[in-house]
Amino acid sequence: MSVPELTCKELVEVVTDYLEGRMPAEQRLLFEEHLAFCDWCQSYLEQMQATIRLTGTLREDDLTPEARDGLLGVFRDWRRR
Amino acid sequence: MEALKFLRPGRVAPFTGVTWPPPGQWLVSAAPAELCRAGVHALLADGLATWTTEELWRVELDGARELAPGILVASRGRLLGRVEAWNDQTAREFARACAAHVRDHASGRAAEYAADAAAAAAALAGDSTARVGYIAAHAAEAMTPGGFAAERRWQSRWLADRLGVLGKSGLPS
Repeated sequence: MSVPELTCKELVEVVTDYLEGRMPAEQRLLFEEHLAFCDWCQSYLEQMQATIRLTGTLREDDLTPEARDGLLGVFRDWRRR
Repeated sequence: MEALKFLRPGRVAPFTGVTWPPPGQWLVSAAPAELCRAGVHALLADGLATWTTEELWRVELDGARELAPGILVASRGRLLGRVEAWNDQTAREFARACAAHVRDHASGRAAEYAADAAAAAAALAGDSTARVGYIAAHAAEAMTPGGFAAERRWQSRWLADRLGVLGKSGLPS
């Protein structure tokens, strides 16, 4: 019998579902059981929450033209994959 | 009913970041109780080992249901008092006990886990106790299928006994 649990890699893959409340209760429990002992994933989650909080306050006017072009380039590359 | 709750320093809930009100004042959930999503969560004594953080409190819950083994979810709860016996010293004792419990009978892969648990216990910072218990439970699983859950129960019972919370939170005294 194997232990039902998430690895760090799996946690990173589903962190958005956790933050957006789109995770079934059983998986959410496994997610939080992992966080309970894993300092690294706790830090990762806190970084994600901080990023969402800070980027949520940005407006288009806040970006320099260079930053705007850079971000659009990243999104275009991502969509091509 | 009475239960137990691990919190971060300053009465902060570890996952939601909610600060519990001072002892005696109710914390009320705005949404119906749902496991790991909504409601006031707390523990029976047999769920303690998985969720250790810096502070342990006795809590009173209203309308609590056990939605996962050892985990109670209620519409509201209030702190009754801090379990002062849970501190850096007992956290270290707990970590050493976890490592020692699996060390003596381990061989092969289990011995590797047990050695990791012992090393982590020796180098322990106060907030890393949970990791030692986790590694020790994996050592138990490597020895016997189902050992992980059994070891977690043993660890929780060790904690409840050492902290003097047996009989107050679901386990017979």
